[in-house]
Amino acid sequence: MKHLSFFLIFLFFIACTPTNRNSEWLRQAEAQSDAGRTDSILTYLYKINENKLSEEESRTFHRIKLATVMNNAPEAVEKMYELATYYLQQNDTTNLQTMRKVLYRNYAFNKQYHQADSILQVMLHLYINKKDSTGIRWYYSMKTNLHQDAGKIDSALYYFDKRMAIPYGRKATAYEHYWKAQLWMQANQYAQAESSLDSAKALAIEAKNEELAYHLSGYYQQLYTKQGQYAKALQMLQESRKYMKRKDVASHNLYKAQLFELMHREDSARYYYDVVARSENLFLATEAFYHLSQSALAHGNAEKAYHFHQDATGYIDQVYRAYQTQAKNNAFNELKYQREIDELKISRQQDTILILSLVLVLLALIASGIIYIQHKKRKETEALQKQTEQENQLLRQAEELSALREKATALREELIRKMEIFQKLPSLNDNQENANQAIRISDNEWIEIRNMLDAEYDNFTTRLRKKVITLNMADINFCCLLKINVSIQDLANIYCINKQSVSRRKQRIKEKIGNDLLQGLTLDEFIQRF
Amino acid sequence: MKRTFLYIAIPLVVSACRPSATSSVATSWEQLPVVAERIETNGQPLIVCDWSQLTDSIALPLSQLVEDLEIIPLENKDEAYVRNTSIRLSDNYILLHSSRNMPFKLFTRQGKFIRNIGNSGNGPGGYGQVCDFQLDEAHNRIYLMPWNATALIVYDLQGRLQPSIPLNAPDEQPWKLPKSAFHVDGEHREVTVATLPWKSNPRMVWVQDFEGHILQQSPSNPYQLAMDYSTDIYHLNNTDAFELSVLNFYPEKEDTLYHYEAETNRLTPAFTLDFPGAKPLVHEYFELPTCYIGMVIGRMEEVGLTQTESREHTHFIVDKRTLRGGHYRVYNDFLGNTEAFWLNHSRNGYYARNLSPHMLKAELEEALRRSDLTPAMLQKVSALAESIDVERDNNYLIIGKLKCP
Repeated sequence: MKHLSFFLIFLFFIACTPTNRNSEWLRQAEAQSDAGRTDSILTYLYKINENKLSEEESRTFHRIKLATVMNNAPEAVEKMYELATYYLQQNDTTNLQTMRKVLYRNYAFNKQYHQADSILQVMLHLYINKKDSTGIRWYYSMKTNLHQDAGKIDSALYYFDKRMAIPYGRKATAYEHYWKAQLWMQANQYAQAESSLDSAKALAIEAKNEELAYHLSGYYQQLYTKQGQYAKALQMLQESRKYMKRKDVASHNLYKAQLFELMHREDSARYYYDVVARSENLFLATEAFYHLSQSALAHGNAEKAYHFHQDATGYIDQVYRAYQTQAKNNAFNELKYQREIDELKISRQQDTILILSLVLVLLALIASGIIYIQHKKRKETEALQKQTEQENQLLRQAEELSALREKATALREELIRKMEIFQKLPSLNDNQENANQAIRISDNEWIEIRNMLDAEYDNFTTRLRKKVITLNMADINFCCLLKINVSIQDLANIYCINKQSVSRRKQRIKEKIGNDLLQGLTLDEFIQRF
Repeated sequence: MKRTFLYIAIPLVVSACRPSATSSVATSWEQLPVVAERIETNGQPLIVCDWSQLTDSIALPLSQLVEDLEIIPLENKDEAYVRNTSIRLSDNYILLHSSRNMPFKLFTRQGKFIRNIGNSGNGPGGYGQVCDFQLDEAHNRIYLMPWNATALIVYDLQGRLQPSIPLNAPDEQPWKLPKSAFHVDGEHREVTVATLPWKSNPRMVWVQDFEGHILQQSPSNPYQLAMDYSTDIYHLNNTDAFELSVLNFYPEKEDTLYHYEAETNRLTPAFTLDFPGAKPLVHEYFELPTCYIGMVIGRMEEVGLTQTESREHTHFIVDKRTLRGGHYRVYNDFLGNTEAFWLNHSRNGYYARNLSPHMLKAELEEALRRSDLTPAMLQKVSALAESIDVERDNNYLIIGKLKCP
């Protein structure tokens, strides 16, 4: 019973102990990080309670978080350094490179190009040592980006070419040609830019990537616009319609409107701005309204300009209010969910308290039961002991009583022996001189014997006569002699008969007493016990 | 132990074998119970439906309510792209409702884009949110009823702004009509208007001319509602009567669909839902030529600081002739037994849906996954699905003329 209750308590605590899901979520976040799934990473990271992570887990948590989400806060940067230092000390090159990439990204974003470049140089040494061509390629990509950002296009082009020179098991993609085109554009090398765009477009069409093909057409438009070749830009825009999707309609018409505006074809520009203003894309519609407003103002139509401007601000206001409402609703829903979670937690706590209370009550009942049973057993044992003691005491007392009785008997017999009458009986004293002579007992002596036996043996004769009414006085006298253990010889001498006659007389008295009273005893035994 | 196990197992087995509490779905009207009674009020029939009797369900094929179905792909010109807005039809034209910055758009009956009608905005003829609109091909007019209107905005089918129709009488204090419904009789140059019955409004239902003169107004106003823009007023114009119904959220009360009879200038109750012994739920009614349909809202859920959304909608239908009814869903048996939504958007005798190519293709693909389509239907649905370019197509309209009794 005791073992069962302990087992139940153990099971209960195991059940109530919340399993640590944080470690599992962290593992999941790391797995998603390897696969590069940002949304999934963040989903798992946001579930984790940072305070319940071990030191190592906390490092992993921050590493993944910093690598996934850009964070320029001073404490985040401090953490980046802390982690990088730790991984350097641990000689963990993989995670160290990850932290370096994070630091690089941070520097590049903050336009700290020198520091960013220093990080890249350190990383390059590691990639070279490891003969990691993918890493080296990445290095050149970052160098290209860095210089492009800094406006050093020649250097950017240089590093881009270095990047493309590394064998990658495939030819350059459309995106890579597009990137090159952007670099050429920034360097104002339009012919080269166009050439790269052509390569990109050809590859996009070959890969049936209509999305990219359409996007490139927008870049062509920029290219030609920069060179003042508006007609060519317009033609390219028209050609791109075959890749255009419904969602591109607004931006397509906006490009068109802007081109017409640059070409000073106001009517056409207004027409297309109007189309954009009535399109599905509210943001582009707003921009179109602004253009229409400016156009109306330029033509002296202030009222129309005002209305267009009002429309533009009205939509922006609508969008802003929609975002505000959405943000408020999100906050509301978060509070609502938090409240529901809190209510669930409270409910769970209440359930836990109830279960604990029930278990405590149960344990108390079990303990009470055990105590009661043990108490009862103890009581029984004590009672048994007491009873045993009492019985022993009784036995002792009985023994003592028996001993006392024997002593009393002995004393009585001794007393009887000391009586004068019994001096005549050789078997009662040590005088054996008259052992075979006749013994005469007078009537008074018989009365004295009977009185003595009645006094010593609880009215022996009275009881005997009452019990066996067929016994006469002679029989009673005979029994008195038996009671005081007079020998057969003495009995023979008293009654002047031989021993056989004594036995016959005993037999006759025995017959009078009857087997019911005797119960298998001899006459002597019966008389001694009576 | 054995006995204890049986005492537990037997009830479990019996309850598992018990038929489910929900009744099976009927496939014909005859299987539905009579759920309403026709009573007379002031000599006019009123159908009173007992909500507690609406327990059975029916799956109706759209062909029972609609004569035939047209699928009209709208032209995918740059200017023609539309959102999923409501539709008005005439013999030769389709007019699509505006949506934010997108104006009303006029198409031919075959879906070819003609022009925009006016512009959303603040300029002359500009409109914001429009609660009701009418396409009157016969009189070459398009009428628009904006929120908080003081006049109907009028265009012709060529997109030219026409003189508006004032909704305030010339001699009365100007007031703005909140959400309203209307019907223009172009022949007689009269407008029947029904507006939300706020306590502050001087009238609810009236007939006026194009100059704003009140010709008659309903003497009774069964409502006195507080100002609340969550309330809606409906007039579907699917029958000869000018029917109107109000969707009112607070307080929940039993409501009625009315007919306004201009000849007698009476507002007559035509259909109502009775909630015997229970608190009424928020509900709305609509009238089709052969039946009344409606929706009961189970509960409202807070989704924002000042926003609630309805949940647990129950759609019901009551046949006008037999008074049989129940919960219903309609499946489009013209098009692979897909769900037929928008029945309560039926206007002017037409069932009409406006959906994006993505939505239509998704519904068709779901239909193709069914195993109960005939080969002919399979081919029809399949061909239509394949013809849809989800990236480039404009919206599709699904239109069918409502069957009349």
